Amino acid sequence: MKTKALESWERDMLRCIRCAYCFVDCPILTELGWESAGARSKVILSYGLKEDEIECNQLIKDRLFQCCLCAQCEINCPAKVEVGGVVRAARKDLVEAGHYFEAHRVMREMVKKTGNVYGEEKKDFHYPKVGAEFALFVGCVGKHREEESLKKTVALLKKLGVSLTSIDEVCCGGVFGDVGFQASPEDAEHIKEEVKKAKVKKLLTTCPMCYRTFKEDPRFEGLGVEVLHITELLEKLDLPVKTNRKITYHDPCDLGRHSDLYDVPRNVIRKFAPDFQEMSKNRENAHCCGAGGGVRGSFTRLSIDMAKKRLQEAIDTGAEVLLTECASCLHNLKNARKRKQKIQIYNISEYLSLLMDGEVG
Amino acid sequence: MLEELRAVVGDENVSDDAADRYVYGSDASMHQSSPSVVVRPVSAGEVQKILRFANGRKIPVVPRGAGTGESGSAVPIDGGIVLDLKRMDRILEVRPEDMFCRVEPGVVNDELNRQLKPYGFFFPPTPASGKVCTIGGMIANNASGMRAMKYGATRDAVLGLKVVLANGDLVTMGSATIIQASGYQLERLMVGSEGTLGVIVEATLRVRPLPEERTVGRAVFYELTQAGDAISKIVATGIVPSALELMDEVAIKSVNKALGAGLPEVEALILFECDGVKASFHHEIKKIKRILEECGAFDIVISDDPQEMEKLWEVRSSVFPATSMYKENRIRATLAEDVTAPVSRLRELVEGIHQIARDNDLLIGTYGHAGEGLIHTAFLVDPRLPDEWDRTRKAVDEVFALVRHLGGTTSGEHGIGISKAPYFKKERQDLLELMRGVKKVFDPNNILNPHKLMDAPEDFFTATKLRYPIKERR
Repeated sequence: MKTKALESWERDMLRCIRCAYCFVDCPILTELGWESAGARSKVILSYGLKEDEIECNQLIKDRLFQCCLCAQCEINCPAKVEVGGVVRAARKDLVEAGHYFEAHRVMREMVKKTGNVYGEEKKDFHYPKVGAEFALFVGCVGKHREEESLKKTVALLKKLGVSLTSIDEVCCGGVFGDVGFQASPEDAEHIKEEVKKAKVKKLLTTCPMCYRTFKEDPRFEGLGVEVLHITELLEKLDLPVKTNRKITYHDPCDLGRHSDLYDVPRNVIRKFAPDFQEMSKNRENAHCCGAGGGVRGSFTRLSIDMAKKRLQEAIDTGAEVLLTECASCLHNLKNARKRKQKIQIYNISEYLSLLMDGEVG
Repeated sequence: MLEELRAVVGDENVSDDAADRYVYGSDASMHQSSPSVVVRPVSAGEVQKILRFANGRKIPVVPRGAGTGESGSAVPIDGGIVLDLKRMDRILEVRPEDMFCRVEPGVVNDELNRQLKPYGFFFPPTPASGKVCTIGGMIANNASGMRAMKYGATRDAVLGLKVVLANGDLVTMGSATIIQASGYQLERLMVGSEGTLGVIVEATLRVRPLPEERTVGRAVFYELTQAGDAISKIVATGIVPSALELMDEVAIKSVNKALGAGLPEVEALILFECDGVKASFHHEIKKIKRILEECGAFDIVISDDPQEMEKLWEVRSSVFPATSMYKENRIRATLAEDVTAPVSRLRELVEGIHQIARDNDLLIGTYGHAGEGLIHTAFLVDPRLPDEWDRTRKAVDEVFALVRHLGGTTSGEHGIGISKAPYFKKERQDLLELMRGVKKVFDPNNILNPHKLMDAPEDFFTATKLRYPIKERR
């Protein structure tokens, strides 16, 4: 198998001293138990492929795709090995050699056809407004899987007087780099063109993955506007509501470990919820909900099992409400909840909207 | 073979897949050799059945914890079965009134300490890999860590063991008492046996009361030799700090680069810790400070802030992997990585290692549990250059010759495995036949981790495939 992408990661793979400090809190290893599922082993397997010491088979492919790219391993690694970079490169080479997951290929096809990863009819949130300050970008999961939550978020922004317009969205493509496919340059151009047409100075994202993609993906160079996550906006606004309920917060990996936004969402929550309780694993050590890295699409049960563990950690705080600000995390955590579990799960912005409408306490 | 093993542990706990065979063929050493199959038992009964089967077929069996060993002890040099014992991770009993706990081998060191804390106790061995390494592996390699100076190594904490022998018999060694004089101390023989005599399936470990208070200090030196002298002098006064660590410039710069540790970038740094009741160790801290100053230390910082202490020890425990960050295109090769000398010879040991580095035009860092006479030798090599490996091998020979000359020992806390075996054999040459005799009594068919310790190949470099891209040297 040709390993063109992995070639440039040789230095990281050699720098890995194999100390296994990355085993600590690796959510996939915790679920599966086999060492081959852990972060160190993904580096070892990638190196084995690059050196032609092993041939790709089903388990090697599974192991390399059983990674949420949550980056907990990179936090733990004193040698600063970019495990996520190695895994992405390995996936790229695997896909190049035809070892892809059908769910991921179909997602790519769906985006080509419909502009979203689900292949569903386009749902536009039309707020055409000339001279708006922000263009809103909501992302595939919010629009197609957490629509009710998203509507509340949008309603909140209106209630708070945020000057908003919408654009003709297509998938930002962030997920494709994670699962070994190439994200579409044409889609990126389309988004850039739409932002330009909207004549705004700021692009407001509700999805941390889209946020990160706009900030980091070279396809979005020249976007020409400031990119903000919704929590960054909410931090600056007056929030005219309070709740006495006990609240806890789940750090989305794309917002926390990947974007270093730990304090911002907490500052927002503290504005309206003085009874805030951290989970035992929080900030840079927050356990992943299991939705990321393409795992939910290709290993759904594994993904939900991780979400169940994370949800239990939230319940263990004694909180009545679990907040996050990521449609993917929200969706996965809600799917993991059993009927008897009373904890309520919302995005921060959704919960604020409900609070303002008096629909929650 | 697979059918029999699956019948014991279930389909989901047996794998002969290339992915697992490749991954379980390595640890934190430079060696790579794949097993035929990986099995994950969950009970002593399952281990017994697996060993009975393997012994009958004369199939090698290599027990494995977290695979954090740096000498290749868990690398299955002859293939066979790797026994992944991490599922056996129950803490069976904590009895503070009897000062012991009973645990399974897959319990992680730091997790044990988390569970002991509410009782007001702790398990003293403190390997830097404590967050991931398992008790079974610690016993098999006689791990120690920075607090061994005061509290001893793992061997000093092992009161009793349950061990599955090669023929599948389950035996109990030692006792659940803090002293015993009932004949041969076979539980001690198991400590450091690296899986060659039996499979440890349960350990009764002595625990100690958590000290009421701890204070840490940091002292900076312009010269490494001054720090070496200071260590020897502190120990010679009879003071027993709970930790006395040395870091040289390579170690300091590595953690600064990797973690932004912000340590002063000088030739050497000493970290020390005293614990107990402050009123009693306050005097010791004063004495240590005076000796450090006499030896040329400056910028001595002392703190009893728990967060400061935690940060400092976190930095220290990160040195091993962080050294791979020291210089572009150089990686840390685990060789001669826990050499140990009498503490009075520490300066000569450290000076000698750096002289060897200069003589061979190599980059070698030194740090470690200096109060125990242990130095971690960090060889930083460009693994792609064959010539660099030639000089490295020569330097490794010289480091071990120096250690023998100083009256030291090949391994202080990581074990022998494959990469230290040639030097261990030189050090213990008058005991090799006796050790082989012991091995034969325990394991007549030589199935348990064969070709390790006294039976390991003569040249560590060609003993297995290496994990580095130096194909032309194989």
